[in-house]
This record gives sequence, C-alpha cells and structure tokens, in this order.
Amino acid sequence: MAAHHGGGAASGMIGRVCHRDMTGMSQWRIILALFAMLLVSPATAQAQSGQRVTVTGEISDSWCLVSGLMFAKGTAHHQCAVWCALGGIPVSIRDAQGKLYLILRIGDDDRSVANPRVARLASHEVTVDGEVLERDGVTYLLVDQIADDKGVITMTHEEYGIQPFGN
Amino acid sequence: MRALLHRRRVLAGLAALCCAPALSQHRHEPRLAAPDPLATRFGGPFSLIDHHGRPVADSGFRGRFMLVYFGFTRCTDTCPVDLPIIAQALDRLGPLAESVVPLFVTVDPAHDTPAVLAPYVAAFHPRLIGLTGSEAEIAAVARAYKVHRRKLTLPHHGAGHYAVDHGSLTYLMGRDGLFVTLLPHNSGAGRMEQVLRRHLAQDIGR
Repeated sequence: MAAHHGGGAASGMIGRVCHRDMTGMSQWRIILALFAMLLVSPATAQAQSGQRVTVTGEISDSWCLVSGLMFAKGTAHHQCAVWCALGGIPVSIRDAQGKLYLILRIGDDDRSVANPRVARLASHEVTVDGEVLERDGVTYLLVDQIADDKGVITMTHEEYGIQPFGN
Repeated sequence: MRALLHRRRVLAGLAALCCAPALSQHRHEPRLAAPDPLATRFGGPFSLIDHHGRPVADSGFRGRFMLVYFGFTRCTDTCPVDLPIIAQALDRLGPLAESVVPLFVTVDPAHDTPAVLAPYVAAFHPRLIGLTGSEAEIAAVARAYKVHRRKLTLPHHGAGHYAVDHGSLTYLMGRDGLFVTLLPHNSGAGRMEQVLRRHLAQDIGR
C-alpha cells in the first residue's frame, strides 16, 4: 500500500515492480485456489449420505438446540444438556454454520444411542470424525472417533445463569 | 517460457482432476450400491406380551409397517409428548394408517403389566399396542433397537417409586420388519405424517 501511495520516483518504481509481480503471482495463486476450492467443496459443503466427515462444534441435546429453550449453549446450558442426554434426548453436534448432526453412535459403543459417554461430552467443543447419513431431512452422524475435545469453552453462565434454573 | 509451459501442464492436470468425476458419471458403468449403515443397526426379532395378555412376535406384523416407541406408563416427560404425536399422525393418515402398527414397548416391565398397559395405551389411541415381557426379554429388545434405559431412584420420587430414563426415538420398520427410518423426539404430528406418507407411497410404488 505504501508503495502505491508514495510520491517519490523510488517508491513509484517499487510500486510498479510490486504491481507487475503481484499481478502475475496473484493470477497464478487465484487460479490454483479456485481449482483447490472446486476439488474440496463437494466434500465439505455438501456432505452426502454415507460420506466420511470431520465435524467441529458444540455437543448438546437436540431438543434444546432445536427449540431454543434453556439457552442451549456453553456453561449456562451444561447442567441441562447432561440431564437431557441421560434422559434419552438424542444428542447433536452443531457446527459453526449452525448445521445439526444427530449422533447415533460414539466409538464402538453398540448398546445405545444415548450413552454415558455422550453425557460426559455435554457442552464440550469437539472435533469428531465419522460417517454422515441423511434420513427424511435429518442428518445423522456415526462418530468413529473424537479427534479433539476442548471441553466447555463457551462461558455463558454469568449472563444466562445455570439452566434450567435460570439466574 | 519453461515456467509458462510448466504452469500450463499443472493447470491441465488440475483440470483433468476436476473433470474426471463428472465425466465418469456419463459412462453408465454399473455401480454397486453402498451398504446402508443404518439398515441393520436398529431392530430385530422379539416375542413379547401385548396389553391384552396375548403373546405377540414381530413376525406377526409382517406385511405392515411397525412404528416402534419405547417408554413407560409412569413417564412424565418424553412419553406424554411423543405418544400423542404418534396418535395424531395415525389419525391424519386416515385409511392409510391400517398399514401401520403402532407399538409401545415398555422399558419398565416390572410395573407395566398388561393390566397397567391396557388403559394407558387406550388413552392415547385405540390402535396403539402395548408390549411387555420379562426383564430379559425387554432388555433384549431395547438392545436390538439401541435404546438406553436406566432406572433412577431419587429422594423426591418417594419410597418405592422411581423413574426410568429411556431413549426417545421413534422407529419405522418396513413390511419385512427391517429398519426404514427414525423420528427424533417431538418431531411433530405433521412431520411424522409426512414421513409416513412418503415411505408408504414408496412401498406401494415397489
């Protein structure tokens, strides 16, 4: 920026050199980036049923997530999320785009959909690898492994209190 | 010049990579359908007792869809939400509902005897069938449908009283007894009707 707005001859020369060099390099990089996006986008933006995916987001019960009850996020909702998970309400991961993945399995647990392991992850920010499945408009996830578990990182209890008790 | 040629070669390679999937779809090569991981994940044979005290087995419902829900008669939160949804969805289906058998499988067989189940299921829908059995039989069905259930005794329940945490999914099983689809807790009667109509129509079209 300084080169383009400089008034001296030297800075003008630097500006032209930079501009020409930037033009050639930028075009090359933009083309490569576009190709990269073309190759990657089908896997990330439009996860098809049966496709392997990596999802990052907060784990919470789907009832509170969908209904918007109990401020379903972070520390404020932690207690409620544990109760709902243990109570049999299906648990979901909500990614950064707001998409919900309803979890039908974690790891090799084959006994139940809602299991103690899911409850222990309530309100945690996790990254999971698994298989995505679509059924009648609902996106389900069979989680193979939890690649990362950052714990509860969204601090909301000071503002919203501890749900479902409130402030 | 050499750099320019190198770039063109790289671009040509990338273009080929991008086009390959699209082109391959026009070759009409036979493709084997990938196995559906959900198809065999839920359900299985069962032999239980209905709310009239008669023995029933899943095989007795072949030729009709089974709409399977797990709960218990003293449930105060999930069952009173989901059972009316099932009842309303059946009513909305009209005559088509004859192809669907709604089943309420208790997760609390010690309490939910046929005598207890009979008035309970009738309160929701005249066609709703209550199913109970021995602890081992119910445990086996719950495991087959991946239904979590846990007896919970807390001070506020009072002496001798308890709750049972249980899974809240509704399972649609096909005329062959195999898994078709799931409906999450509180899906709504309209949505359940829509899903049932879709699968019934697909089945008729086969």
